[in-house]
Amino acid sequence: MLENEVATLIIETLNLRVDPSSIDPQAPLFTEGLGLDSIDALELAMSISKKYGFQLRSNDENNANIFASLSSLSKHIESCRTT
Amino acid sequence: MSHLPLITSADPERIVAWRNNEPCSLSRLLMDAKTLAGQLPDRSCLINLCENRYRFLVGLIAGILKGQKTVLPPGRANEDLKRLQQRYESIYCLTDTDTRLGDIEIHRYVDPISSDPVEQATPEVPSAKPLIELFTSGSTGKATPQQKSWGTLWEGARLTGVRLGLDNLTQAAVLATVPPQHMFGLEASILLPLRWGLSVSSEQPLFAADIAASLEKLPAPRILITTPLHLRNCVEEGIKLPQTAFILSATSTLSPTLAAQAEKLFDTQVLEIYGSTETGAIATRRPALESDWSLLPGITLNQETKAWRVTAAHLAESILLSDHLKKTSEHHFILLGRDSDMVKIAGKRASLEDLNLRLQSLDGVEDGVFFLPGRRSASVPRLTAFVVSNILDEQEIAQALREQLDPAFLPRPLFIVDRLPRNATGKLPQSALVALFKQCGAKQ
Repeated sequence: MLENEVATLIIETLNLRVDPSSIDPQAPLFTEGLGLDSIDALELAMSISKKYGFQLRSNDENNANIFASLSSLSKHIESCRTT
Repeated sequence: MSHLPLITSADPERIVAWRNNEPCSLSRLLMDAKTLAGQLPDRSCLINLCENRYRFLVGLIAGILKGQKTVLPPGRANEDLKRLQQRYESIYCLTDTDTRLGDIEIHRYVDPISSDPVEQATPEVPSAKPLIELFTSGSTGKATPQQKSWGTLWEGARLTGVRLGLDNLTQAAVLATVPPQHMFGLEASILLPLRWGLSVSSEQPLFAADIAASLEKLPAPRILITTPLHLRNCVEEGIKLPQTAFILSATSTLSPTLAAQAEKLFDTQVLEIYGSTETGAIATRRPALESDWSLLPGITLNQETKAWRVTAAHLAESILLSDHLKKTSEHHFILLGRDSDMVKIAGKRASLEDLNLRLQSLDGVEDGVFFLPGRRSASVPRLTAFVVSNILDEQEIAQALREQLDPAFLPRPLFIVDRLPRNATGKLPQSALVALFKQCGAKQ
């Protein structure tokens, strides 16, 4: 399932020490929840572009939605992926 | 008391900012600042947290008009704001987002209703009075306030601008990927435009594709103010950036390879600034072509027993640098490294000693230490931490640290260990920490 795959990608890219299944798909990824910051976002963007073949944008209108949670990020990847 | 202009250009029609493709004139900016100044509460200090750069600029000018000192906190952690509340009784936050900010008084920025701008007199700013306060971790590791007068900032911007050739680029539009709340962002994206009559984008793009799109909205000639991290993202994504007059980088050292790749890919010059919160910018170089830093005119470096002292007419006092360097000529030097206690992550500095103290003073933590592992390839260095606790788990400790520290310094990962490898004198030798890190990593 893509959500698990994205969770693993986040954990591997950012060297987090949590179990992929322990990430609440609806919890916020940034500030609260996993507590990621903008450096993480950049690292993550590069991993996503390598793996799924598209570039993340943050000044899209739905920006806040994309990073709102694991679930929303996965949905965004699903709709934009080229690989 | 002598005064300086707030902005070089007195032409009310001059474009000073870009908001969503819309040019914004000097008279509009001054009118918005006057409106905001009329709404701000009567306090002595204002913490300007506006993320939109135009709103930050309006807030800064409104503070000047109202005689309030602008305070730019060391970080956004609630603890940082709490300390400012303790330092100043009469302080509040100006913000343009809904982020929770503890129990500090908030003034929410509301964009003024657009009406035809009426010509406003360009304010004069007292040159010697402390107007802006920023923080540096300094050599003691504690966040220490640094006062900046308009005279210091204005002259610093002149010196940097002369070096960058801004006298021939006064029509340029600036885009910055760094926040204006830190020294580099303040100098490069606020002071340079005011001093040289440049216009500035309200946006602060993060990803490569965003940077390209934000640049696209600006008229040529364009200047991109950024960091090695954003630049690496642009290069690795192979993005096409609109033509820039130059790209200016700071916050951490730019590798010559990355600089050369960026110059080729984006058909531009990549220039780098060396400076500190205490001194502001003091030197520049073009890393693709040179390893030596070239001091800005009027800045001198003198060696004292263990450190280098910076002296310049626009600095209120001379300043000791915490970096090790070697002079290669009267006006040139190379950087050798930092004081070993200091860590710099994503442009933010902290002292390991201070981080350790904060970790060790958390309730439920028996012992703990931060450790900076060798760099993962092509990646931002991140701290890790070893913690001894019988009560707390990793998540709980991470949560408690989040209240205390800027996210850049949060340990990734944090390891719970039975004991720290302290030697007979209670010290933690670096070699023992390296071994412990390997051991913990192997268990993962």
